[in-house]
Amino acid sequence: MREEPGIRQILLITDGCSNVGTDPVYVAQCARARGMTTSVIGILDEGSLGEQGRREAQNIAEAGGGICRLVQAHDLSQTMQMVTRQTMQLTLHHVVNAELRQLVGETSDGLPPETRTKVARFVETMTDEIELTIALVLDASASMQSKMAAVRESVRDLEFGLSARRGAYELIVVTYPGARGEAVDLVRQRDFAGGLADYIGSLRPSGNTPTGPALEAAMSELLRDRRMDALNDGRSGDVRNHVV
Amino acid sequence: MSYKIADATDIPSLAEGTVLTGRFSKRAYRVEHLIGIGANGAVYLVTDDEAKRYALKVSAQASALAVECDRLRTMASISRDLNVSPDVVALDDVYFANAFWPVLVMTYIDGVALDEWMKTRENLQQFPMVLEQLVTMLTRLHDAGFAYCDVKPANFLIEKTSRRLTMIDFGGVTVIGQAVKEFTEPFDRAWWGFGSRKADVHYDLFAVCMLALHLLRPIPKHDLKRLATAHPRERRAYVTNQMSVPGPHLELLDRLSRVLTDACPSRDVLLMIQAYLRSIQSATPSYAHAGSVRSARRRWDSTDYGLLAAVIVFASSLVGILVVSR
Repeated sequence: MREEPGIRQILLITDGCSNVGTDPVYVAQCARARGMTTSVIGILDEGSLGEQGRREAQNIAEAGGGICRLVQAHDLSQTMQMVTRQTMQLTLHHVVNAELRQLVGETSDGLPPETRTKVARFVETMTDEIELTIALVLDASASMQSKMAAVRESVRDLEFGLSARRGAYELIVVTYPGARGEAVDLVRQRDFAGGLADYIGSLRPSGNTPTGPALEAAMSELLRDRRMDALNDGRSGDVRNHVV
Repeated sequence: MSYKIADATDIPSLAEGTVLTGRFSKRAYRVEHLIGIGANGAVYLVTDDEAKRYALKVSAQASALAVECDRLRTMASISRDLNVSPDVVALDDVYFANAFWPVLVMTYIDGVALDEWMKTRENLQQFPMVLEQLVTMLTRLHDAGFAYCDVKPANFLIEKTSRRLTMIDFGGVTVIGQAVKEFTEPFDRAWWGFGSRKADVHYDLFAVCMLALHLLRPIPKHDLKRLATAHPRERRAYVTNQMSVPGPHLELLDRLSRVLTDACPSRDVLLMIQAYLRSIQSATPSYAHAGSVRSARRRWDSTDYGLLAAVIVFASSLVGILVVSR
C-alpha cells in the first residue's frame, strides 16, 4: 500500500478584487499543478465585492480546482467548514476515481448505487483520518475592518472542527497586506501559542489587496512543508516497515 | 474529470409534471412539488404511475447522498418496531438539465416540521413527550455506533395521523468518534463553548437540551447575532443564564441544564424526562392519563397558571373599575 501523503488546501477569504502584484488566477493554477486545491469564499457584506470581485473569486476557484462560495459574514463559520470538507472529498474522490479507472475502467459516478455506497463510506472515513494542511489566506485590506470579528470567530470555529477529526491537521494563516509594509504576513499555528483566532483579532486591516502574492506565499509554504515531510519519511521508512 | 461541486441552491429546480426515470432502476417518478431545500440537496414530492407518493432528494454530491442512504438503511434496521424514519426506496441517478443527478427516493412522510408544530401552545405542552420520543430514537442510533449530530426542529416531523415524531434528514448521521459533518450553530456544542465537535452521545444530548431551550425559552435573533462574534466562553455564560431565568418549565430546564455539562448517558436523560412527566402528572390531575401523545388532551401547566393569574388580576381590576364608576 502506497503511503498517504495527506491533503494540502489553500482557502482564500476576501471581500474584494486583487489590485497589486501577480494574477491570483495564475497562481491558483500553478498550485493545482503542484497538487494543491484553492477554494475561495467571497464575503458579500456592504457590497464591496462587486461584479469584478465575484468573477475573480470564481475564476481563482476554477483554476485552483476548488470550490467558490459567496456568503454573508454571519455564514462564514459554516461555509469555511463546509468548503474545507467538500474540497477534501473532491480531492479524495479524484484519487479514488483514478484508481477505479485503472482497476475497473469506471469512475465511481458510473458504478451502480450499491457499489457507490461502499466507495462513499471509504471516502467518508478517509476524510476524517487523512492528514490535512490548510493555508488560510485572509484579506486584511481596509475594507475588511468591519468583518474581522466574524473572521476571528470563524477561524476559532474552524479549529474546533479540525481538531475534532481523527487525522492530524495544521493551519497556516497568511494575511495580506502585511502589517509592516510587506506584501504578506505568515503565521503557523505551532509558532503562535496564543491561538490563531486571537492573532487575527489583533490585526488592524488597512492597505490594498495583493491577492496574488498572498496565494504565492501560501503555495510556497505548503510546498516547503511537503519537502520536509518527504525528508522525514525517508528517515523513518525503515522503522515503519518493522512496526507494520 | 469534473471538479465542480455544486451547492444545494445550484441544483436546477424541477417543474411540476417533470417525469424523472431512474438510470438503474428504470422506474419513473412524476414531480409534484418542492418540499424543501436542505444542506446537501433539494427534496421533492413525487408520485409513481400508481399515484403512490415518495420523497425524492436530489443532491449535487453523489457521495454524501450515498452515505445518507446507508445511514437511513441502518436506522430502518435498528428501529423497525418504532417506525420513526422513512424507508429507502432507491438510490439512483436521474437525467435532467443536461446531466445525471444522484437521487435518493424514500417513502413519503406526511407531517409537520417540529418547529412549526411547536408554534401552537397546545402542542408545546406535549413537548416533554416529544422529547422522550426523540431521546428514545437517538438512543437506538447511539447503540448502533452513530450520533445523529444535526439535531434541530427542522429535521423532525410530527406525522399527521399517528402524531409520532419522525426523523427525516440522515445526512448528518456520523460514526461515533469522527468529526461532526453537519451542524447548526444554535444547537452545536462547540459553538456554545461546552465541548468539542466530535460525534458522540453527549453531542446529541447537548443539542436536545438546546432544542428544549430554544422552544421553551426562545433566544432573540439579535442575541444570536451578537453572540456570533463573541467568544464561545460568553456564549456559554449566556446559555447558563437562560436556563435559570424563572419562568415556565423551569424544572425541566433545570434537569436538562445538568445534561449540558455532564456527559450523562442518554438513558439517564430518558429517566429524567420520565420523572419530570410523572411529577407534572401528579401535580395536575388532568395529566393523569398523559401516557401517549394521542391521549393527551388540553392540560394545564405553569404557563396556564400564569395566564389564569393574569386573567384574575385583570378581571378583578375590571370589577374594581366597574364598582367605582357605579
